[in-house]
Amino acid sequence: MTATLKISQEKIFHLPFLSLLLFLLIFFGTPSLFAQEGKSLDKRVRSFTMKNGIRVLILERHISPTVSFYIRFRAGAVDEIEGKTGLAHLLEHMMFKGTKSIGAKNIRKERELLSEIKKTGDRLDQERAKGDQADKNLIHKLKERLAALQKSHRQLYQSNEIDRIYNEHGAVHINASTGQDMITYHVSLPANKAELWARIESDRMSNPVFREFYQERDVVMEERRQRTDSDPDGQLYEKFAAAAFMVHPYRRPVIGWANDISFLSMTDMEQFFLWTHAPHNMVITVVGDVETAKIRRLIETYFGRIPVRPSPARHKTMEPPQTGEKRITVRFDANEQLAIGYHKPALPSPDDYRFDLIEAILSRGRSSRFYKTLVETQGIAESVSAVNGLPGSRYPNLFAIFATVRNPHKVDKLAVAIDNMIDDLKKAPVTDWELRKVKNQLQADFINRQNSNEGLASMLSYYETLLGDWRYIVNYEKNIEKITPEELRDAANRYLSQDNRTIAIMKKD
Amino acid sequence: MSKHSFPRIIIIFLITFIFVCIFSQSDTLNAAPFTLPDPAKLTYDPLKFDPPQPFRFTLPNGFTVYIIENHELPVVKITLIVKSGTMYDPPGKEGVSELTASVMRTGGTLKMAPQALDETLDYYAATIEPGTGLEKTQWSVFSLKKDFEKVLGIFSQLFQEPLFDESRLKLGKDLKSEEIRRLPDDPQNWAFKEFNRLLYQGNPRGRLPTLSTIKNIQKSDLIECHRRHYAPENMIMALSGDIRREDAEKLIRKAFENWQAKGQIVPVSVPFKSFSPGSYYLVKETPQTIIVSGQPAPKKGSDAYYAFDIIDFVLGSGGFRSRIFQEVRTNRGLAYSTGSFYRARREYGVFGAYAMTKSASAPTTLQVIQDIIRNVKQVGLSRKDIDGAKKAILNSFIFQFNSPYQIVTQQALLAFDKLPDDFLRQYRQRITLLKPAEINKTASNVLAPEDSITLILGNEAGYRQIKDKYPDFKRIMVNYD
Repeated sequence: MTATLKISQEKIFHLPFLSLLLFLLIFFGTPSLFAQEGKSLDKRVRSFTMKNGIRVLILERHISPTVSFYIRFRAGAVDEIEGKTGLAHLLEHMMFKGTKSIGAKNIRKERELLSEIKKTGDRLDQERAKGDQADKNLIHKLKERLAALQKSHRQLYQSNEIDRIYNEHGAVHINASTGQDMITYHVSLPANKAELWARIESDRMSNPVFREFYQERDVVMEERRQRTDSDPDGQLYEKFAAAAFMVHPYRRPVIGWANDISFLSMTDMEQFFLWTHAPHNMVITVVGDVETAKIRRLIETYFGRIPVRPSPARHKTMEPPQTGEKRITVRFDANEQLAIGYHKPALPSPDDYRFDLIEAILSRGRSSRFYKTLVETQGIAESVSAVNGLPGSRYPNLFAIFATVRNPHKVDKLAVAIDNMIDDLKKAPVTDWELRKVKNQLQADFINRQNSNEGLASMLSYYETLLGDWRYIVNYEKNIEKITPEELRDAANRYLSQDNRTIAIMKKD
Repeated sequence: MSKHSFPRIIIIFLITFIFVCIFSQSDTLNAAPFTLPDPAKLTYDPLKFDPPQPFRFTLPNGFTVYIIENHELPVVKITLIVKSGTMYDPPGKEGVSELTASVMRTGGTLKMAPQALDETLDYYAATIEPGTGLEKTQWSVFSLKKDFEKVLGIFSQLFQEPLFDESRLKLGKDLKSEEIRRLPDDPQNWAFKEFNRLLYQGNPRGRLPTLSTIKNIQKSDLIECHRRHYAPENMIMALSGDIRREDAEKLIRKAFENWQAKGQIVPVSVPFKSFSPGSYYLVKETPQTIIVSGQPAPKKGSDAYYAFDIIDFVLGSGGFRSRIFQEVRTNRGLAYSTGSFYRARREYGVFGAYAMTKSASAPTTLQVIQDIIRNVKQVGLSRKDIDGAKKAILNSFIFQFNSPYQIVTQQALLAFDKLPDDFLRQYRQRITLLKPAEINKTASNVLAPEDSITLILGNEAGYRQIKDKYPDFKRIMVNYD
């Protein structure tokens, strides 16, 4: 099944990066070949900043004649204003609608019609917003008028032209995603088609035309029905995050509240585009069978033309410390499950690294504490997983636990059992063997992530966008390696307290 | 140090050196006034690529292996494809092939207790996991290079000396039962499972595990399933990684050559000998309705297969411009997920279309999809559609060879399906040579929107709306007890 223009609510997990060098020195005495190559990732990535502020990372990888391109913007759902939730994600969809020169047959006439469509849509939304007081006749007329305008507009452009051009040139994984922290556009192409990418992306990042806005707003409503309203995991997660954060925007769903989405306007979209997709927010990453100098020239030629645009000062209401446990019940027609979250700092805080390790100790693999105790021995859970760093990582976030209960046990019993395991973490330091094991696992993850152009492009661009420095992953090794069992116990004691937690429980009745 | 690594390091060094020079120059270049070119007028250098060829060998016991070296990262990966799948499950024991694979993995071996096995693999950061499908089970192994010999040893023990520990079997059964209980919680998963059951009705592929079939399964059933299916001649291995071909071969021979098991697979009949179309409605109180509709389609490698790949691409799997996506999603805003799928297997194929839409839109959406398919059946595809699909398929072909692991796994899958080694090369030629008349004849012969299996999952109110427009829909009740 295709799920295009997908929304991603989870962050990319902190990529456990431990070069094997230190590990091998400690445990085997001699560095291997990879220890040298692993270190060299640091040297192989070329980076530069363009005059308009765009950051560029290039990594040559000549395994096959293909190349992956990632463009990320340091702006996401967290940057929306109240009442306009879902704007970042809808914008990401609208970025596939073509440009002044892609899909256009008569751009001057189109502009006129789009302006009429915007006016009519605004009037329709104003009337709809009156709810029971709305004039039904007027709504009917405005809908007819809008449909007629859309029909006339349809004659003036080629729909879905960006996707067609990419497809016919052999592109794969043409997609985009929106998270709390950032918006991402990515595609992989045969290596000889790099210029096509530069042509299309530099154009749509500066000259998008928001065609088919109201139809796409309906598409996103369907996406919400599919991912959140019909899905127990989506339901639980949305309500859980909304309960865990009182004032910080991380409490809002990336896809937006249904009522907000249904009133988003073209004007909202145009304004949000201008500042979020400004060059100084943009990180371009290219990984694959390219020549660095050539691709650099291409990027400078095409993306250097994008004018500098200002961003408004971004103020975020910070989440005040939680001063008592929050518990909510989510009624839904599904078997019982739960979510637990504890507030904690985001990366690059030293505590964030510690929670990466705690996450793995609790729930990584069949020998993890949760699996062994709750799934295997006590038999009360079907699944239990810990996730460090939700809903995003630009601001303080949550260490979260998700669990599904196993019949005939009840979810409340599972919550108590999980709590007992958290207490164990606070009482006694983890064993050296456990700590070594999870450090090994995080290392292996990092190595494995380097086996594709996409994996590398995603990883490099993620940290560059989030922290302004992709080298976070290079330094990850030493930051993780020096962590001791006592530090983990200490972090557990500081953050995993009852007063600092939110529990959301899904029940049928 | 392997023989391949040294030159690469030198190349990287040289490239880095050259770039430093070029970079310092390019900073002084000023961007000249520049107008965006017409994308259609861009020109491209030809793509040159000679993908690595797998090395193949077969042990005297029938165990076949494909290998490609890859020294980029210090890891080794394996895919092992086994002729075992849910379609082979005996009636009343549905779920046994999946449980056999999962308890082989979790239930220990004659040399290693279950818990020790889990802990050892986790400590090595290695994974060995099975994935059981309808017609085959695919095992995936990931190991760091330094631990590969030990991990391969464990892997071969799982196959040759599984313990099937009773407590791990109980755990496996309990977890599978919980998964079955939770199936209706997830409308998408539930709808597609039930669609498959209806599609394959009357064939072993259409049987689903229930709480009672899982309860029925004993250790002796796992031993029997293992005995019949897990024999060297019933599997094909693909390996790629940071290991010399000769060394890998030596290790594999040592691990598997003494395995003398003989399989005894009971053949399963091909589906759709008598296909009975029908329209079914499954009630779940949910705000979104799921529509899935499907029919038999050409088998993989048949003459009609190539033409039908184009037809499916244009109908609903070829991106935003494909007809179902364009009309249902882009033009009408009726769905986020919509399109078509074509699953071609060695002996048969299935074509289907799907959409997820709010309850009130379900009748319209179903009609739109059926009209699109009917139109292609009657009118055929335009030359423009066909050219676009061909270009997309041929230009993206390179992504079939994106990594040595992908190439070697692909080759093993072709061998498993008894397709020729050069199937992909032939595929490319066949697609290139396809004539519009042939494609449209296939569309006319194969597509049968009126004779499909259609399943709609939606709420009670939606059922009445569907019945108003499509009186043939029958409500079905499903029980997994």
